[in-house]
Amino acid sequence: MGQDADARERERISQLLANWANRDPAAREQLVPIVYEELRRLAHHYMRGERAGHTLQTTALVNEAYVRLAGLDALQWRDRAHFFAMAATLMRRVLVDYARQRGRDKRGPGVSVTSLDENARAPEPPIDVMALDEALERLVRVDPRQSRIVELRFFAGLSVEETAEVLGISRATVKRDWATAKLWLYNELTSR
Amino acid sequence: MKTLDDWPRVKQVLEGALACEETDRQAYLAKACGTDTTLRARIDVLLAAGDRLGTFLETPAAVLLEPHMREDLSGRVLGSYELVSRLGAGGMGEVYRARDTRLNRDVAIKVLPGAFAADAGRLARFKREAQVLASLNHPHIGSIYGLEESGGTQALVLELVEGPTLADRIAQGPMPLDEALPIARQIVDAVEAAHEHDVVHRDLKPANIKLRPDGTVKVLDFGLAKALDRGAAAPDSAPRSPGPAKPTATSAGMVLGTASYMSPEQARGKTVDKGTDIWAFGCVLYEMLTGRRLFAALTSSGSSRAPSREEAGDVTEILARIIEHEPDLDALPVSTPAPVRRLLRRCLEKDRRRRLPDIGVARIEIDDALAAPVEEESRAIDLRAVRGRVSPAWVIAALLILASIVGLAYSRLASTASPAIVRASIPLAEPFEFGILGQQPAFAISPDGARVVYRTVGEGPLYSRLLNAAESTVIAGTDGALTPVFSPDGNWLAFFVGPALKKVSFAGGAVVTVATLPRNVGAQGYRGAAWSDDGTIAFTSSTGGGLFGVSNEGGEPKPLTAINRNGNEWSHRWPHFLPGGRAILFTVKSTNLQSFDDAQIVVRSLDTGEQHPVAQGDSGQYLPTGHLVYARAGALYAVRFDAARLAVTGAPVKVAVGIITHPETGAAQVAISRTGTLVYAAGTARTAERPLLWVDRSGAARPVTDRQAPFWWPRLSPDGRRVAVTIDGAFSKLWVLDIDRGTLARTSQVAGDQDRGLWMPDGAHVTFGADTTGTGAVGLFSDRFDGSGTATLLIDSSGSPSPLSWSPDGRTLLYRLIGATTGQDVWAYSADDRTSRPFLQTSANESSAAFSPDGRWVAYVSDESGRADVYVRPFSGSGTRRQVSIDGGVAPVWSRDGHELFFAKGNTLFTTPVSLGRTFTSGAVRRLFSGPYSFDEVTVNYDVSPDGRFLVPRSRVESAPRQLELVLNWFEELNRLAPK
Repeated sequence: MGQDADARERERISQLLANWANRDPAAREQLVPIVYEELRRLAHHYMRGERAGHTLQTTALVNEAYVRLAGLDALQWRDRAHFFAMAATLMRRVLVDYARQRGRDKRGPGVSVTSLDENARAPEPPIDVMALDEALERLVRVDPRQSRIVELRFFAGLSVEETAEVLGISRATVKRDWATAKLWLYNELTSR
Repeated sequence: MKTLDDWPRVKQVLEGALACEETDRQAYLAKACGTDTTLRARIDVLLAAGDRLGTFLETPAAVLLEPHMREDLSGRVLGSYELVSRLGAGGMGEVYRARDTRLNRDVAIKVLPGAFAADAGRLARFKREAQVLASLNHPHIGSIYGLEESGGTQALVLELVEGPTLADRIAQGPMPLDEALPIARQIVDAVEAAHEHDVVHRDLKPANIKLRPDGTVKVLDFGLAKALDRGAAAPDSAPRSPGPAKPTATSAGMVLGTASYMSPEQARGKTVDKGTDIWAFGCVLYEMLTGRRLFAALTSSGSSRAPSREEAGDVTEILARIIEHEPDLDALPVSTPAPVRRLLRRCLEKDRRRRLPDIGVARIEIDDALAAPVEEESRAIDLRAVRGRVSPAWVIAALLILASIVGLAYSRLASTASPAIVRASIPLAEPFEFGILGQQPAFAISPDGARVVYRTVGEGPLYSRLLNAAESTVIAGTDGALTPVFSPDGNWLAFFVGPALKKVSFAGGAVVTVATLPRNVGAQGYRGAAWSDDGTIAFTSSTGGGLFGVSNEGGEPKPLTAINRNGNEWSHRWPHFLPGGRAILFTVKSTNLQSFDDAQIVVRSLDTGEQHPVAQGDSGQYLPTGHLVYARAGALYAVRFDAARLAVTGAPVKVAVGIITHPETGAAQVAISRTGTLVYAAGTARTAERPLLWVDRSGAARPVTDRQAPFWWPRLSPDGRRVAVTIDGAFSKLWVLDIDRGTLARTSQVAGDQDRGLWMPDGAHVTFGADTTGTGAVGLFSDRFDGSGTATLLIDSSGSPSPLSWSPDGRTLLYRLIGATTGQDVWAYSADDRTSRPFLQTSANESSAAFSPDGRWVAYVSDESGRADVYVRPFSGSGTRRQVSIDGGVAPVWSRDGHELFFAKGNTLFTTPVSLGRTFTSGAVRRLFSGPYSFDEVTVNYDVSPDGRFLVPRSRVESAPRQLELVLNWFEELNRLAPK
C-alpha cells in the first residue's frame, strides 16, 4: 500500500515537473512546498554530519532532491535549470530558517556565520545570513537579475558557469553583476 | 533604501571602474562622474570595500552554516577527557579544548564526524593511519596522542598548542626575513621528519602552523587530510594508493578550505606525494614574505587592489589558475636574498619532476640564507631565474656561458674568494629509457669536471657532453655500452659491451678491446667499475662474487678481491680506488641483505688484504676534500675520511637528497668530479611498489592486502587461500601471503634471487627458480611453502629455466628453457623418473604453457605466425592444436572449473568459453576489462581464484628524467655541511 502511495506521489511530481517545464505556472505553485520540504529534509540529514568529511554541497543536495522527487536520472538540462532556479530560492529559505531558529535558540540577535574551517583568514567578516536576506529583499526590487545571481551563487552554491546557464545569460554578465553585488552587499552588511 | 537609489547608473560606473586597470581608474572615474560628487563618493565607498572583501560570499551558505548545525559538545565528558570549549570546526570534525583528567593536562580533541563510528571498515582504516601518524615524534610536529572512543563517538586526542597560527601572524602584514626564515626552517624540519617516515601532510597551510609564544613552531594535522580521506574511501572502490587525492565532489569540503595551497598535480586530481608538501611550503614561505596568498592574489584578499574583472574566488577558478599560470614571484620584497628566491622558484616548479626533489634541500638553502644572506645575494648566479620566461634553447646557451664564466672565475679567483655554487641542469640528447636508470649508473663525469658521458637507451651509444659545448655528441663504436668509467687523466673512457671490456680515447682513434671476460657475465651483470692511478681497471664479473682487475693495456683479468662466504658475503660491487690505487672502497652485498640502505661499504688494502667497514650504504667514493661520500636511500652522505689510515674520522652528515637509487642493485645515479662538480639524476629512491589487487570481471578492483611492495607473478594456492608471490628487494624472494590473515611470510631459505613461485597440486609445496650463486645460473627448486622443509633441486640446467605449470596429478612440470638456436621452448619434467624432455621446441618462441584443469590439454603462447597467439594442444599424443586468440594474445590462464580460458593482450583481459574432455572446443572471444595491469611480464603475471576473480599486481609506469642535474663548486657546500 505504502509503496503504491509513493509511486503515485512520484508520478504526480513527475507530471508537475513536466507541466512546469511546459510553462504551466500552476504546476510551479504546487511544486514549491514539495521541493521545499524535500530540501529541508535533505539539508537536515546532511547537516547532522552523517557524511563524514563531506562538506555539504548544495549543488549535490539540489540534484539529489530533484532525482528523488522526479525519480529520474537522465535529465534535460533545460528542466534542471528550471529546477535549480526554483531550488535556489527554496534553499535560501531553508538556510535563513535555520539561521533564524539557531538565533532563537541562543536568544541572540540572529546568527553570524563565518567559515569555522581553520583556513579562515582572521579579518574576514562573518556573514549575518538574515541581514543578507533582508538586503536581497531590497535589491530584488531594483535589480531582480542581480539578486537572483547572488541567490544562485551564495545560497545554491552554483559556480559562475552554472549560474550563467540557469539564467540563460553570459558568464561575463554573471561575473560583472556578482562583483558589484558583492561590493554593495559588503557595505550593507558591515555599515550597520 | 538610499544606497540603491539610481542603482543602474551606479552599477554601470562601478563596472567600468572594475574593468579598467588600477592605474587608469582615477582618470576613468573623473570622466564618468564628472561634477557629480555624490555619485563619485558612492563609487569610492563601494570600491573601498574591495580591499576588505576577502572571500566574502564565496563560500556557499550551506557550507558556512553546516558547523553551526552541529551540536556544541562543550561540557561533555569523553572517556577521561572533559570537553572545555569549542575551538573550531570544519569538514573534518570539530576541535575542542579538553582536560585530560588522567594525566592532568590540557589537550585538543578532534571529534570525528558520526559516520566514522558507523562504518567499521572506514574506522579501521583510519585507525591504522592514525597509528602511523601517532608514531611521528618531532619537536615541530603537533603530536597525536591517540584515538578515544566513548559512547559511539570517535575522537582524536591531539597535543594542544597555544599561540596564534601563522595565518593570524600573516594577517598583520608581511614578515621580515629575520622573522620568516627561522619559522620556515622549523617548518622544513617538521616536513623533512615526516617525509622520512613516508608521511605526506597534504594540507600544509598557514592555518595549520602554530607559533608558540616561546618561538617554537608546530605544524599541526600531519597526514590527517589523507587519513580521513582514505578512511572515507568506499571499500569496494579501486585502491587509491599511494594516496592520490581527487578533488571530487565528495572531498570538495577539503578542497574548499585549501585550494590556494594545492600543488598543480593536486589541483588536477593526480597522485599526490611529497612534492605536494614542497609546493605548499613554497606557497607558505611566499605568503610570509609578501603577506599575500600566491594563488588568491587576484581575489584582492589582503592586497590593496580592488577586485578586477577577472575576479573570482570560485574554487575551480583558483584551481585552474594554479594549473595554468606560472607563479608570479614579482611581489617578493627586493631585499629577498638569492637563495630564498631560488628556493621559492624550485618549490613552486609546476612540473613535479622538476620541482625540488626533497624538502631537505630547502633546509640547506635556508641555512645558506641565514648564514650570509647579503653576501650570497650579491654573487649568486641564479640560472633558474631565466627559466620559464625564455625558450629552453636560450636557457641552455646562457647556462653554458655562465658555466664557463664561473669556471673561469673559479680558476682566477680561487685563491682569493670562495667560488659560487651554481645549480643547473643539462638536457639529454634523448630521454632516458626507464630501466636504464636502474641497475647501474647511466653516466660518469671526467676527473676535471669538463665532460659528462651518459647512456640513454638499452642498445644505444654513449653520448659525450663537454660542459662548454652546445650539445651532446655520440661516441662512435659504443652501441650497447655499459658502466662507463674515465681514466684518471680523463683522456680515455673504458666501458663494457657484452663480455668485452673496451676503451676509447677522446683524442680520437678506434675503440680498443682491453679484455674479454668470462662467459658468465650477463648483459646486466656489471655492478660498477673503477680505473686506478696505476692503470688497473677493477670491475665486477657478475651479480655475485668478488672484484676482478685487469691492466688497461690488456691482459688476463685476475681476481682482485674474493668474497668471504663464511662471513655471509655475496658480492663486492661499486668499486672506487683511493688515490695511488693501493686501497679500494666497495660495497658488500651480504647473503641476508634486505635493503641496500643496510649494506656495508668497506675499504680494503690491496697490499695486506685487510678489509674493514667504514659506512652503511652504497656507492662510496673518496673526494679530494678528504670526505668519503656515499649514497643511502636516495640521499648522499659525507663523512671525514683519513686516506692514510683508511679510517673514518667523525660522523656522517646528509649533504644532498633526491638522487635516484636502485633498491635491487644499490646503484646510485650520481657522479662527482675531482674539481667539485656534482652530477645526478633527480628522482626517488623508492622501488616501484605494485599493490596486489583483486579485480572482478567488470574491472572493479580492491587491494588484497595493505602491504605495499614490488609484487610480481602472484599465484593462488589450490585452495585459494594463499598467494605465492615474488617481491623484489636487494634480493628477489618468494613470499606467501595468507589472504584471510593478511600475513606475509618468506618461504624457502634457498640463497640468492628467487622468483616465479608455482604451487604444486598438493598445496603444500612451491616450485620456483633461484640463482643461488649470483652467476645467472638458475636452478628450479621445490620447497614447503612455509619454509619448514628442505629445498629439493629439481632441474639444474643452463638456459634460464622458469617454472610454468604442474599437471593436476603432480607428475609433470612444464618449464621454460631458452635454447641457443630454438629460442624459448617448453620442456616437460617427469617427477617419476626425474628426467626432462622437450615438449614444444621449434625455431619459434613457445612459452607460458598451462595445463588444463583436467590435465589433458596445454594452453601456450607461440609466435610462429610472427605474432604471439594463444594455442591449445593435447598434452599427450599428437592431436591437432587449436588457435584460441584471434588477433594476438599472451598469458593464458584456465578458469578453475575448466569452462573458460583467459588470456591477455596489452592491458586488456579476454575470455573464451571452452569445453574440455576428449576433444577441445572454444567459443567466441570476449573482452573482459582493461586496466593498469601488465598481465604478461616475461611470463604470466596474474591468476584466477576459484570464485572467478583475478589476482593481479597493478603496474606502475615510471617516468625517467630528461635531464641531469649539475651542481658546480659543490665542494663549497660539502665543506660547509661536513666541516673539518
